[in-house]
Amino acid sequence: MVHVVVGLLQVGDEDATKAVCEALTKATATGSYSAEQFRSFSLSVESETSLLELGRLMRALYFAHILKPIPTASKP
Amino acid sequence: MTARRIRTGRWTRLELTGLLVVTMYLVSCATDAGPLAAAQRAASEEEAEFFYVLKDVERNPGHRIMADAYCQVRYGKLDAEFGLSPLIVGLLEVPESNAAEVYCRALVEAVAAGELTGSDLTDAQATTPEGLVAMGEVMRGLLVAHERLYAQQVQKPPQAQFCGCGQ
Repeated sequence: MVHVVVGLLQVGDEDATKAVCEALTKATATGSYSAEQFRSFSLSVESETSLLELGRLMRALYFAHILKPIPTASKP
Repeated sequence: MTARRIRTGRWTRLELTGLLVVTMYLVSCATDAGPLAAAQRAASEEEAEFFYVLKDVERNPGHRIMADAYCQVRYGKLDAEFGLSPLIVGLLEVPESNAAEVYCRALVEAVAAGELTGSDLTDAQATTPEGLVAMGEVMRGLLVAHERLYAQQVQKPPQAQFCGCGQ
């Protein structure tokens, strides 16, 4: 999946894992993707369902990746 | 962009299930290979034709309507065999019944905008790391193009959407 992510998110090989983790975390935190969906993706290897889940995951990663970082509370 | 290949049905089966390869192998073992070879040749010729349609759009973005129509005829008639349908449903969040249509629109839009090329699609079918990178780039191109088309559609006033006259 790392290679697909390199193309999808336009990141270098060495940054792909970090980019996936950040995007996945962000997507889950913002509610655009769920742990259940990721579980479905992981379990649906080599089936038509896997394509559906792959598409959903790639969509979530892409939009989470291009989103600006969620602003944190300003320091006093 | 780097070389990439995607050939919808075949890539799906080869890359993600291997089912087609096995089936074709078994069929070729069990039956006369003539019809199968002919079918493969016909599919290959269609893909080559589509490749040149997309190359034409690269040079002449104004030809996109023709390319879109060609794409939809091609994938529309093969709706049941549109191997990427589940992927497009998940990637672009569209109903399965519209998957081929939406795929064609986004693909032609991306090519017309210079974000993807016909070669990119052809290259993305490789099962090598480079091919997988290309697949990611193709998915990105489809996403970007689809979102742009959707935004344009939303921005159009209802009358413009209906008559296309922009008034």
